[in-house]
Amino acid sequence: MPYTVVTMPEYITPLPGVLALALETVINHVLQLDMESPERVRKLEGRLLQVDFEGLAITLFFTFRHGVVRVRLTAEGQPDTVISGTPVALFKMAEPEEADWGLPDSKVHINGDASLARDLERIFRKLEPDWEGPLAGMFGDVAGHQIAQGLRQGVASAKETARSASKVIAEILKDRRS
Amino acid sequence: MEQSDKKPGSGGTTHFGYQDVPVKDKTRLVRGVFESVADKYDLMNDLMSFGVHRLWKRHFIAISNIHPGQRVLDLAGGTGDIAALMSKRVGSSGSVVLSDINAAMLAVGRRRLEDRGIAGNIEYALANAENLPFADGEFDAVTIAFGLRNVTDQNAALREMHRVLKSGGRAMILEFSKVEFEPLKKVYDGYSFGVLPRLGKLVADDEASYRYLAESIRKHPGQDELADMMVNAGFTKVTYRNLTGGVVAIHSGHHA
Repeated sequence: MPYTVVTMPEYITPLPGVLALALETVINHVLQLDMESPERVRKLEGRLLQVDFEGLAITLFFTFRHGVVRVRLTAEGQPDTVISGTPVALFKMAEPEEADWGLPDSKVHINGDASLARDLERIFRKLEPDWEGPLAGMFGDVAGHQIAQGLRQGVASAKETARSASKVIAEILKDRRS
Repeated sequence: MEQSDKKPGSGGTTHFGYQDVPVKDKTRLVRGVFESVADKYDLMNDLMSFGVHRLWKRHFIAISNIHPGQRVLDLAGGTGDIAALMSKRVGSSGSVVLSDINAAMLAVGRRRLEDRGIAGNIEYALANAENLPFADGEFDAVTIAFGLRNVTDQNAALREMHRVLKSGGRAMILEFSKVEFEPLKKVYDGYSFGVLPRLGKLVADDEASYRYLAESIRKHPGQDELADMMVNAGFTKVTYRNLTGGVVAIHSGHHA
């Protein structure tokens, strides 16, 4: 494969760094709502995922250590997997039930070890967030339970909102570039 | 690893902020800092974190999974913020041991908790985290919040935390950590080394102690390094989560 050792890219604006920080924060926040997620992520330790945002000329690297996903602008070594696509197509990956990125006509391209991408998809698919534990700690058992119930009921609409938001973010990124 | 020269009695040196000092002197020097700032410790934390430390501590306990009836140990418990939160969670059927190596800090903590009416399920222990006076497997959970970086032999403290945990028990560490995002890092460094010592001088007339606190944060192991140390100390399922872009991190590990 035509991969070379990854070197430091030069970005003029802080946007790629902001994107990396935002993605790392959101991904880990969601994962850590499920007590089992760190153990699933731990199985990916030592693997390197490169994600190329086509049209933005932004490349992010995902590493996995101690059950935590890290998103960086640089990495050492050769990626196991390279995923590339437009921002719109890449953000759609956050919707596993609708994802078609494994199909030949998908707008997301995977080079290298496709099993890493599939393992990640499985991790997100298996998420069973524990809303109640942290909320009970913050607001007390009764209020925490009630808020958690509300959250569960709101998950479907939140997913829809997130789906729309991911499209909006992708469009904003596309507009900034063009 | 950074801690390799820190074994007590090794005759080597360790860091005290950015200074290298003999290992045998660090505990005394740290004690001096905290005796100096004990009365204004909360104010110091508010200055260092813009008050966000209170939210970090609440979140720390919120995700601790500590239940009523459990026996928990809070190391370097200082002025009792964490112990107060844990006291509510373990209830009257559980117990909290608030421990600190510094008698002045422990006295401030005890006074504050008693003033708030928090008593009955709290014990106090003047103890060195590197050599705990507790039996093996005595606790369901052990916590240390903003204290590990001041311990001379951090590996020894982690081994002790592991030893006093029951099988299945969990250790949690809340500590300043490494910010990776460059723009945030620059702002953070500018504040820590430019503004904080001056505030320390203005508010507490103690610039040196506040400078030490900023330096000690930068010398503390980063997220992965601390996680590796926990694994080496015997913990399993070690993981961490960053708060506020990595300004602080919560590490956790279990006793198998």
